[in-house]
Amino acid sequence: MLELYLKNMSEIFITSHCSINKNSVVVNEKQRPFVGDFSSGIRSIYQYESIKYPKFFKMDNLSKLAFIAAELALGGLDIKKRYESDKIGLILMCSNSSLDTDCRYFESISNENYYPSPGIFVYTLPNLMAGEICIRHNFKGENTVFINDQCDWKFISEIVQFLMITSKIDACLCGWCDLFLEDFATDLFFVEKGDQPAGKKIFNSANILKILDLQHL
Amino acid sequence: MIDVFTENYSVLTGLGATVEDNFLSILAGETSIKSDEFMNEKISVSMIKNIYSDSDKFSDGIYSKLEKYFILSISTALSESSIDPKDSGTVFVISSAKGNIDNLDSNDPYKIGKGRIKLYEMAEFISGYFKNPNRPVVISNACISGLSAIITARFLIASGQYKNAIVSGGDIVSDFIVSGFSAFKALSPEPCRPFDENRDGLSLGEACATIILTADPLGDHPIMIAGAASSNDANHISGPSRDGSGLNYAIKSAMTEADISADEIDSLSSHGTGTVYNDEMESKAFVLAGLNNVPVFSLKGFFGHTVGAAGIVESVLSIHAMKNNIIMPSGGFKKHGVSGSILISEKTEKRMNNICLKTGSGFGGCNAGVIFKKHV
Repeated sequence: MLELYLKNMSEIFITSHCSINKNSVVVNEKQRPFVGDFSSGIRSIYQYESIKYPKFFKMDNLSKLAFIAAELALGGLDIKKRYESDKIGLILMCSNSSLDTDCRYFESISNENYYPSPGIFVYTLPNLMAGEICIRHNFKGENTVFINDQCDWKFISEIVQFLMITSKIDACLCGWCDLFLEDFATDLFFVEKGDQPAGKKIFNSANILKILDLQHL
Repeated sequence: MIDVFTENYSVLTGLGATVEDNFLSILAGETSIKSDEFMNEKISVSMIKNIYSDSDKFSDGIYSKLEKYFILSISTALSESSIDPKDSGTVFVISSAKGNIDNLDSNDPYKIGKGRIKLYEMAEFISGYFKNPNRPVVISNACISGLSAIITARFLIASGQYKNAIVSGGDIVSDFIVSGFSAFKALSPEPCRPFDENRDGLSLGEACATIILTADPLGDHPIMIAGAASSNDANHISGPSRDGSGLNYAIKSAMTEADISADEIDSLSSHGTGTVYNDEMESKAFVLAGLNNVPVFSLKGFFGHTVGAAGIVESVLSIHAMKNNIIMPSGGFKKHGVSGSILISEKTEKRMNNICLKTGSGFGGCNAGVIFKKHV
């Protein structure tokens, strides 16, 4: 197993990534500031990128964050043509689960104007952000949302490697996406199996942390 | 890849606090789902009976209702197990859709410092109770959370990271979840009837279940996790796919990994919620996967839809049925009411049950399939 692991590990590489937090929006090497509070800032990225997807405005804030980060990380890759839909996976991790929407929903059922909205209730699950990305990009492969108190890249890279070694997926969007009120951060990486192209880094937690450290300099 | 087997397990539902109580009730066709009312609407729910007296050690207000259920379920599973929760080779994998959400403060819901409302804090508290030295792995994947936990625990052992995993899932019935499903018009006023022509919605139930997985099984006929996979419909966030193709991907992927064909499967433990669209979708997926002749059952008619616990509760009982070579009946089912030509298990049958497929589907378009195989 270990030999197979080591052999296959070198065959997964990082194609692109996107990080968003209250200070900046990073897509691969390009960085720009995140302006305003979450709602206005995320909406201005949507407009700036000329995204046409009306369902975006119905999403909760966690899904909006995940959706925009996926949009930026996958932009121009044309992955629909290169992969069977069931061979693309999505592995996400967060800390606050759907607590941001949980609190909003809880308010709507705990006051005198009891009015539970199905449109809000559906987002009281963290894997709805995964569902939204899957619908947008037609990902039909493995998908799981993990809850942790911090981003565990070792765990994420090992599970993605395992899914690739066991031939369940050939490509994967993976990483951290977390939001509670104005406290938000995401780091999503698109990784692929195959021969390492020039200039692309091998997918492991050390390389991920190097990339993330550089953008915080 | 290291083979992964099931070891001891436990189940806590409205039907009872032991696997045997639950199993015998199911074979006798009993249900713990009762009619109830919520905001002037008729609903049906299955609640765990109060199993703690005021004098017991949990009465000091330190533990939430759900945490008590987790601790009881895990303690029961460990009581006859050879696995040590304090061992560094043992990891806790915890699944829940809503955790301690009933602890939100109605005066100030955004103040979440108290009550271990964050799922990781709850999981760490539970693994800490058993003095486990490792960080727990926590999964919240809607109604497939329990199956996702089993799939993840299997990865942690198969890849050599741990020798054993204590996999536990739980959810309780609170106003939060009842009001939401009610707003979706998904609740049946009567005990749910999965796959029946008169089915009209689901019954919520509370449960907690634990299954211990290990690389070193004891006994002559251990049950192995031969295949495990998840998929996404990529179709709609709350409605199941119309054609069942998403669930079929997970089933096919698990079958490929297990290297078995559809006609080798002895029993199919479905998700079967009792809603019109879910059961219809599942029947189509089973036909797509070539499972037309495999006896299918849903256990939700016996103790309701237990959300984040469902995948573990239903896997445990399905494994118990494999050990006893029994095919369980489908709860609440009378007359075939789905378009897919599938074989719904109408009564308890004593016959060979060496390979069982467990499936699940949930909000967010997620699906999962796990294949349990007995070493014979």
